Formats: sequence, structure tokens, C-alpha cells
Amino acid sequence: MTTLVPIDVTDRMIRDDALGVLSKAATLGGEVAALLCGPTAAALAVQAAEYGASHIFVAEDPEFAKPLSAPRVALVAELCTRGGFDLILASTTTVAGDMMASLAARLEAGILWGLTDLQRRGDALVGLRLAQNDSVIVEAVWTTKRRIGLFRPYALPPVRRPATAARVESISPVATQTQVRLLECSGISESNGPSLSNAEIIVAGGRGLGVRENLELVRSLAALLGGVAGVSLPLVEAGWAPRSMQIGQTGTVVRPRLYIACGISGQIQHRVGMERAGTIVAINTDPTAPIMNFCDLAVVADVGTIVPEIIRILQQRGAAKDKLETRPGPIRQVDAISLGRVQSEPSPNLAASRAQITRSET
Amino acid sequence: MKILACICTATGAAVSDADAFERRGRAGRSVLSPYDARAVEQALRLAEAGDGEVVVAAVATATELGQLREALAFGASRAVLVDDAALDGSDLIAISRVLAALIRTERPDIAIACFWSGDIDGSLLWAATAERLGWPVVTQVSALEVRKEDVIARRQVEVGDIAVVAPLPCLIEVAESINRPRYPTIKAKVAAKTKPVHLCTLSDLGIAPELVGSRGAGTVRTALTAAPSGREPRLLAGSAATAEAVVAFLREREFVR
Repeated sequence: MTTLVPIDVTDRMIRDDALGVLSKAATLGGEVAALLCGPTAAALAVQAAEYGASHIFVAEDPEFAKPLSAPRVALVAELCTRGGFDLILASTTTVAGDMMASLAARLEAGILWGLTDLQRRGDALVGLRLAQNDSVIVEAVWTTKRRIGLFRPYALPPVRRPATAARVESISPVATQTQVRLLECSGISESNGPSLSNAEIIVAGGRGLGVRENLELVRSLAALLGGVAGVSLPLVEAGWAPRSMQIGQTGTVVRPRLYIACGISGQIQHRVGMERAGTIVAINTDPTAPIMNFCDLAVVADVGTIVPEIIRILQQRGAAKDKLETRPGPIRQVDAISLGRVQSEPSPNLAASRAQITRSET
Repeated sequence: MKILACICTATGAAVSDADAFERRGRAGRSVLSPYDARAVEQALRLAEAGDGEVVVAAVATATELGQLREALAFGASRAVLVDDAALDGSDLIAISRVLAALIRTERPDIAIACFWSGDIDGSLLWAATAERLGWPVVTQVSALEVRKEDVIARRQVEVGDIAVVAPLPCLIEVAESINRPRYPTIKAKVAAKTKPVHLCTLSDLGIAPELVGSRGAGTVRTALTAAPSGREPRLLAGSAATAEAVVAFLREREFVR
């Protein structure tokens, strides 16, 4: 068995999930080759070798900087014919999806997608994926000689291996009748605020917010908790939020300690971007929304009603985490504080919040 | 301009609990799925903007024609349904073969489909179909402009938002956000009952039965088992779904005081 792992190199790095696929490929036996596509690919050949590739193809032509599948399809098909690769594995991205499906049709190869694992059992190679809102494990095998597998984003951990010699080979694009031309690519502008990718606490809003004003509730709650606000894809498509705020497969993949999802249904595109969060709280009017099954607290409620209440309570108690961390001295009992009346000795912050409440009452 | 709107191709995962790899849809439900409705809507908008005809196509089991009739009520002029017992067990590469043959037969200028937004395999099916036809394809399109000889399609990818140009004829998979489907009128629903639905089999498309179904599939499912539950959600519903309870939970986990 010889395996080819096509990888897109962006921002001078190889994504962790692509390294995870390489690591997995290296455990299956046989030669593993990586195809690195992108302007800085050569510089990353060493890294590909560290994660299991013994043969690295480097495709640095500007053609591969464009997020289009056709040039990649032509190149991988050519490599398969030339190098006899019989297993092609990649982590799912938008371009990789298009590419691998085209290759399946072109090479008449069976394709398994959404894989969370690939296991060798005797002579058989068994693909595992989750279905039915991740409640069912589906096992499937290929019946074709050539096999194509697409992994769920970030399904596999990268595993560094002892260094071995690797062959690096620079390759040029294969001539294609490129039918789809890139007209423009906006890129993603840097957000001005704190970064989602490093945030400890994230409050995110989705289509279930209903009205645009409710996005302010998400921002307020995030600010109060010392966290960062994010959104799911539909709000970016609706123009409510910039792309830099998007969490999900084509947005930022996050791993906070706390993730509060407000009006987000939890479709797979979003799920793969946040499912590794520590604690997940989901607020949704629909108890059957997928996210209600992969959270720690499922709150069946309207965001527009419950979030202002949560904000009010937190403000009253001065209970936000950032305040906790900056407050000197021993932790004080704050349970007894309600409606702005402090029944035990107030801390400076609690006094401040009481003052605020008093002002709002007057 | 002839526009083919392809429906009923959602995965088994989206429509049934039977099989997450099964590609063959079902025409039997009476209501068009919201995704299919978007494909039909987009096709109609293109047709209405110029002088076009919309044909609805499905590769599905024809227990009833509910979804096709609904698509016709939207305003499509006729429908084609490929149903054949030999399709049982078809996977993605087998169904893409049937779709490609159907498109070759119908010769539209543009074919449109829409999938469940989390349905990565929906995009896969369309990319595989285009490969068989040698046609350009753009998947997950959020805005579409059709010109005389090409289309401009916008979509989101990991590195940003892109706009591409693809010559006609082409395949377009639209994202759920692309439009808001219309509601058919009672009159249109009545009229849809008399619109032609052409039933065809694999032999009509010139496809040998061994190229589809389980014999033509490149993958086969070998086991289905219950997945271990990762998280065990605590449910707050009804009168228990209060802000106080949420804050109490956050305190319990030490995110707030």
C-alpha cells in the first residue's frame, strides 16, 4: 500500500488536522507521501517528514495559491498514475472536498468521507465515521482498488515521529483545461478585538438570535465574562458580523474552556469548529437542535429573553470571571447579594456593581 | 436558457436514520426539503430573469411524487424522475454516474442543487458528477449571477470569500443562504398536478445495472453501532430554563462567582 496525503499550505504552516492525517497514514504501513501545495511548501517539507511522510512532493506554483480544486485534481491524478498510490487521504476543507470527489470519479475510486478514524484489521482497511448527530458509528470499507478517504476536520491528533530520511521532489502543475477562474479572493481581515483562537471564554450567536439587535446581547455577555464574541456561518452570510468572527469549519476553529452557544443549531460545519471546547452551554428554543446533544448544559429558551436576564444577574453580583481574577484578597461570599442589597461586607467590585444598580434604580 | 433543478439527493444522514452512506433520495415525502426548495427557487429566479425553462430532476424512489409535485407548484414546467430497483445500495460514485447521465440527456445550460449545509457529501456528489461530465462546478455558492456565456459565483473558503467565473454549461451547488424560497399558491399547486412527470429507468439513460447499486458502489457499509455518548447534557427546559439556573451552572463550573 502506498498512501498520498495532499495538503494545502497556507500562512506558512500545515494545519494540525493535516498533520494528524499524515500521522495516521504513517501508522497504516507502506510508504507515505505528502503533496504540499502552496507558495511556501518547500520550507515545510521537514515538518511533513516529522509527521510521517517519507516522500514529499512540493508544488509551489502560484496556481496552487488559489483555492481552486481543478489544478490539484490534475496533479494528484498524475501522481497516482505515475507513483501508483492506492490510498489518498486528506482532512476536509472546502477545496479538498471538491478535489477528492472529482478524483473519486476520475479514478473510479470509492470515497469515504467524514472519517474520524481509519483502522487496519487484518487485510482490511476500515473507515469509521459518525452519523445521526454523532450517535451512531458507521463502519465502511472500500470495494475499489484505489481508495479515497476524507477525514472530519481535526479528527486526528498530530503525532511527531522519530526523524527518518525523506525524499523531497519539486513538481510543476499539470496542464488542465482550467474552467473555473478565480476572480477575486477577499482574504480575511484581522479582527481588531481579542483573538477567537486563543480565547478562554467564547459566547457565540447564530441564526436563532432572530433579530440583529440580539447580537449585542452576545457581545455584552462575552464582555461581562471576560470572553470573546463569535458567530456561526449564517450571521456572516447575512452580513451581521465580519468573517473574522466566524467559528466553524471555514471560520476559526476554537478550543475555549467555556463556549456559550446562543441560537446556534450545531450543524456539522459549526460543530467541527467548537466541539473540543471544555464546557459547552447551548441556549436554543429548539430542544431537538443537534447542539443540544453535544453540550453540557442544554437550555431550552429564547436568547432574547434569557440572555438579558443572565447579564442582569451577573452585573448585579459582579460575578464575572475577569473581576474575580483581578480582585485581591480572599474570595468572598456573594450568594446573599440580591437586588442590589449587600448583606455581607461588600468587596470594592461588589460595591461598585451595587452603586451601578442603585444608579439604574434611581 | 434551460435550468435543471436537482432535488431529493440529500444524504441518508439528512433524511433517514437508515444509512449514513446511502445516496439515493426519496421522492415520497409530500413537502420539499428546505434545501431542495432553495435549488428550485434559484432555478426559477434565473429562468424568470431571462427567458428560461426550469426542469426538476430527481434520482429517487418513487413511492409517491410529493416532492416533485411541490417543485412543480413552485413554477417548474416539468419533472424527470429516475427510479430503478437496480439503484438500491448505490453510493456516491454510483449516483454521480446516474446524475451525469441524466444531465447529459437533458442538456441544460446550468444545473442547480442545494444540500443540507452540514452535508459535506452533498458537495462531494456534485463535484463527482461534474467530473464525469467534464463540466465546471462551483459548490456552496452564496451568490450567483448568470451572464450570457458564464456565471459569477461567490462562496466561502477557509482563506476568505472568493468569486469565480465558470463558463456555461456548469453545475452549481447553492448554499442554504442563497435565497428565501417562495410559497406556492393553491392555484399553482392545482396546476402542478397536471404538469408532466417523466419516469425513466437506467436503460433509458443507457446505464448498465452493474455500474450502479451495490455492484457499482465503491464503498460498502459493514457495521452500525451506537456511539459512546461524549457529553451528557443537563437539560433545562420549561420553568427550569431560567437565567438563575444558567448562572448557577456557570458558578458550579467556576466560570463566574
